[in-house]
Amino acid sequence: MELLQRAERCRREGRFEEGAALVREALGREPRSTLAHLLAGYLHAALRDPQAAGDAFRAALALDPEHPRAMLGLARIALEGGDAGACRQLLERSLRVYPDFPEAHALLDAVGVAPGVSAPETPTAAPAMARLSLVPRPEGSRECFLMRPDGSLVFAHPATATREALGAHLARVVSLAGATLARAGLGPLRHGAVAANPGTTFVEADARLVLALTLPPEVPVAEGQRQATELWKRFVAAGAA
Amino acid sequence: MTAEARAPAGVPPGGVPSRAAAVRSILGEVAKIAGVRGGLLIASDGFVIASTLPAEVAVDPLAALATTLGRELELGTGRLNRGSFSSAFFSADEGSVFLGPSPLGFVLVLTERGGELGTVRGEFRKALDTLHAAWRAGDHTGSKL
Repeated sequence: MELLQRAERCRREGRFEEGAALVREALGREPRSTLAHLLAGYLHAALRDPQAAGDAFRAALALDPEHPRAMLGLARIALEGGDAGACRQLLERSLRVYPDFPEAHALLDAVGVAPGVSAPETPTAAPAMARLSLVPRPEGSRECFLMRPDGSLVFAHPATATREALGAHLARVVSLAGATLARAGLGPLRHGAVAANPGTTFVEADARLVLALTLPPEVPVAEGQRQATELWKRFVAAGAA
Repeated sequence: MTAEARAPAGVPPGGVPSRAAAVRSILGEVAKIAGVRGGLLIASDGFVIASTLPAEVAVDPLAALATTLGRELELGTGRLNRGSFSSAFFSADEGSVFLGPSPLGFVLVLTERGGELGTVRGEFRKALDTLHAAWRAGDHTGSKL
């Protein structure tokens, strides 16, 4: 037990590798410790190793099939893998055991509307795509997605093979960001910006539509946000809503 | 658990500030910026390492969502060959959320409506850079934390 207490202290202080080594030692002595497997899952997740974390959470569940926190750990890993359905099932299972589980409720709120890896187009998407392709996009635009909050594409440029996967990723981001803002008491998502190496993706959103516009990294955030807002208005004027 | 209970004193009996204390101190500095309500330092498993958020904010569910969002941004950008995510912000009518990756997990900052987002964004990025530098300065195994 002393090893696990030391491992938990390491976790609190962000010393994840040291904590994981202590848990390994503890499991060597007591392989049927649910707590040790759970802590191993947390530490591997903190080290961004979902495979090892998943193994540890499954081991905890094998010993205690009703452990809500092990289910939550697996639910997160399922969502990371793009399996929103499995995530939702695990969260619902954990809530049957622990109905007031705040983290499970929070994630279920987001996953309830987050799509999986597929983003089916609506039947009317093709004519809409043609019409919306005529709307002028900002100079230097790299990618432009207009979609429903469920991830179904209304318009995508360029038309690459990965556009549906990218649309589904963006829809998950929008869903999780919206749930995060709502949990913080700030209201529904209106705007966003995600900076990555190849560019910044600017987001505009309301209850019916989401626009994601990727501009080169040198575009200042305020300018990028202004361009995204203007493009949003042009799409709406062209009948996107 | 209260925010105070999650943020133990950073200076150990030996008197040398730990790297974890330095990380908490950075979060404390961000929280002093005008318009910032507070922030969280969250491990990638959703565990809250430090919080400066006001007591009325339910920290654990917010951390669960923020971590899941951070992981989606990390993994999604990587899987789709979009490089690595460096920071994000999302705004609503009543305020905004800034989120960025750190060696310990993620940093989240909440701002009020009307906050000076440009200033917060600049300070937030500086804080993320300082966190990475503080981490690199320490022992990779974490033994100097």
